[in-house]
Amino acid sequence: MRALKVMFLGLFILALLNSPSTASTFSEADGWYKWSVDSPVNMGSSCCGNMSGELAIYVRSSNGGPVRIRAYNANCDKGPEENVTDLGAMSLAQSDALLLEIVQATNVDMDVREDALLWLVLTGSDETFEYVDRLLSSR
Amino acid sequence: MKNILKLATAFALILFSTAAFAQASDTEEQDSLKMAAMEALITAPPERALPIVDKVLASDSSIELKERALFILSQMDTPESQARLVAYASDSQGELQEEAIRMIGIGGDREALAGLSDVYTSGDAKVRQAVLEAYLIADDTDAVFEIATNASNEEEFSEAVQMLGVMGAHEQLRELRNRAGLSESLVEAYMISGDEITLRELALDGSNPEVQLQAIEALGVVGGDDVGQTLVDLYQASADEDVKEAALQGLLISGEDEAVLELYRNSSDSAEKRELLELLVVMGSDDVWDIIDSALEGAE
Repeated sequence: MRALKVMFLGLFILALLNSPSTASTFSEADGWYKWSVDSPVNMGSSCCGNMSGELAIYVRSSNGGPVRIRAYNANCDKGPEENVTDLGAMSLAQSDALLLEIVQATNVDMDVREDALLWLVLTGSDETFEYVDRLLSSR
Repeated sequence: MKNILKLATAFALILFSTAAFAQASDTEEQDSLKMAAMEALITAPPERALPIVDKVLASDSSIELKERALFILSQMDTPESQARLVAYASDSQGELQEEAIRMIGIGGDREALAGLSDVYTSGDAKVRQAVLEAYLIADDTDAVFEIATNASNEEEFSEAVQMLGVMGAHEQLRELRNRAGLSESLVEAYMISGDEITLRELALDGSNPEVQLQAIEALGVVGGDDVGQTLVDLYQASADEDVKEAALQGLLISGEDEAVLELYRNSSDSAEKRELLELLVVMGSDDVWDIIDSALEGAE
């Protein structure tokens, strides 16, 4: 009987280990989430000609998870205007944390995770490059 | 009790197989993320991306990831990254070496392209071909011309001039005629490059019969506004059967049925007329039916 209990406990732990990581910040309500961040990378903008490091990042959430990411130069923010939860201005570290949450969320579509990774590298903090280095070095 | 144990064992087996499947899926996801991370590095400043790319290339990562890393390297416009690429093109082996060579072509950096010259000299047939292709991608006709000029054997020369042909390098190919003399591979390169002027010149020159015949047929392949008339003139002016045959082949290849029809109408030799009529049939010329109608009317 004791062996049986141990076996069920093991199975329970295994089931927990297999549960997917989620991007919980975007699971509260469906719709767009927006935040702005000062990127250390100067980005050219084909739509307004100005150079600015400030980005407006939009994440669309549906059924409790991110399904789309858009980013605009803050000078020519063409993001959606309705149904947007504005998370306000964020530090680079905070923005990285949100994007990384999406990159690592195993229940999110790979295309969205890859988009998040692109913006993560583009905003380019030291921690980002450490993460990319670790990711690429991992087996 | 036994039944519960059996049930638990079955449940455990299902869970373990699910876990194994999930692990395989995780590996796939991880590989996709790695690929995306490598691609994203294209947007990063070279001083941040280079150490990471270097590390991947020195690691035992998959060949696909390393190939992507070489592409990122090729897109970094810095002397360090280009030097690194040349080093990989020289020192690595197999697929990765060929990819590094190709990436130098795609990058198009002049110094890196010049560095491929040594790689060509020391490389095997595959490497030499990869270098020629890199020059093709970079449209570096001068580099291929140098290879052709310094070729140590006919095979190397032939490969280089063929590449010049593909690149449409008329000037370099004409210069090679002065330097190396005419050869089958050079005439073929004139054909590949579509050099109608040189081919016409060679077709009309009977000093080297083999080259002349090859040039006549090649002229048919290249085609052009005056090709039909040139081949008709050659056919009519030459007493050499081989030249006549080559001219007809050229007309057939270029689809100049009007020119063949002209020859047919001007001929008074019945054997020749038969041969020309057969050629018109092979060419699918609509005029064949008019000729047959006229012949039948004449017979009546």
